[in-house]
Amino acid sequence: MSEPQRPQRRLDAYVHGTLDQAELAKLIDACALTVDALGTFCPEPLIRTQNAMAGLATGDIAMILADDAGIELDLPAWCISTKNEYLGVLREERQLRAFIRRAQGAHQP
Amino acid sequence: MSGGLDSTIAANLMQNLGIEVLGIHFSTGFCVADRHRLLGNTNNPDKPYRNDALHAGAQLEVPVEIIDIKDRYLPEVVLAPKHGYGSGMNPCIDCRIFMLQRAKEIMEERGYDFVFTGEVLGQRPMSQRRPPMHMIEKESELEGLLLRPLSAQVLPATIPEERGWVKREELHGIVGRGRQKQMLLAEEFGLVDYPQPAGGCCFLPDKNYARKLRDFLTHNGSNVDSDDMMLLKVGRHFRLGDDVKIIVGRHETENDFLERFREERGSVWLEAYSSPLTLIEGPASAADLEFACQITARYSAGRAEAEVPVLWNVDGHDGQLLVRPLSEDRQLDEIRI
Repeated sequence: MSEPQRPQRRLDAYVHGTLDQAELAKLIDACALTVDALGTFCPEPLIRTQNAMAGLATGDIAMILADDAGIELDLPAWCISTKNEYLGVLREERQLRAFIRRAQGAHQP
Repeated sequence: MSGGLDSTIAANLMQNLGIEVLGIHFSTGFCVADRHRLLGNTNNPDKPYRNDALHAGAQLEVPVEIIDIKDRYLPEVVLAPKHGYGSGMNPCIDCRIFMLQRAKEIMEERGYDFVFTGEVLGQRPMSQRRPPMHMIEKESELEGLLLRPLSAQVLPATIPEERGWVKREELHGIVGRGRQKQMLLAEEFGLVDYPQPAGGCCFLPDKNYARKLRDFLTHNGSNVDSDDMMLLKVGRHFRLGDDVKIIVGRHETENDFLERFREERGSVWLEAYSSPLTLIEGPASAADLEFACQITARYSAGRAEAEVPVLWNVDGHDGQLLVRPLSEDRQLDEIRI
């Protein structure tokens, strides 16, 4: 029986998200909610995401617009800790589009 | 939950004892790590800019909520601390009480049973000695319900211990400023990649920041916003008069950051030489503007020239001055904040 993965290894793997770039691109017009965190920096993007996700139903997808590069680490970490699903990020010239799916049993603030 | 070593191992310890943990991370606006994020520091690829509290939550699989207390923190804690300041403008005791009062509110709203922290007796000189720790517990109205698991064995027993929710013998009795025991616990728990111990996470104890904050409050009153607080963390600050101050970027990263605030402020820069971007706050007279140009030239690559052209923009008007770069550091020292 293989040893259960420690959270650190899961965090490394999770940083890439569970969807590929093509699948993420299709979500731009299909997400339930857009969180605009452009021009803000840690921890504001996460505060806005955390507050917005509280209103979503299981299975709903939120798209977070941000230009704070650190969210590429913070969002996956937040997802692991709250048991939401980190889908991935699209990197554009001046912004990032990150996607999260609200999971069943995820932590509700 | 700062995501530092102590709060992380305290949370891991409680998890291992079967306690359901919710991590609360308070955003005060005075976070040192936020500055690195703002400036996009990339000097150390082994330490990417991340929120340490969230990273700890992910390592432990403990939910972490970020609570924004900036609006209340400045007026209620920083400007009027009942228990005074430490070496800088750090109102550590009032800060601790304020955060624990908020934690108590969350505890009661959500049906949790007690609050715990990663505090260690004797570690921090202002807030982590017996008398202030007792006072903090009392003034946050958490008497008996505030557990410090890393030092519990050398502190009075709490309700969680008395009621058997946790066993005192499974807690610790760490005392003092050393971090060796905590690092051993981290290794035992399999915790990796925590922030280096003993690193301060708040700007308020920093004497340089405290000086700039005091100056700002003296001349601007308490009418401050988060942009003002952030600008105090960046650049060289010089006071030209009661109502006029300049902020001089120290390198390209700071210049890029200061660009965001250019619209609402006057600005000075050189194009003929590599140069800082200088922002002017307040109504600058012609003499103030010239002085700002001389200071900017002093910190530019043209500092050794007899005269350099300096560009400026004030109240929507552009212009250029030919100035002699300031050469007397004594003059700068007199106005440096």
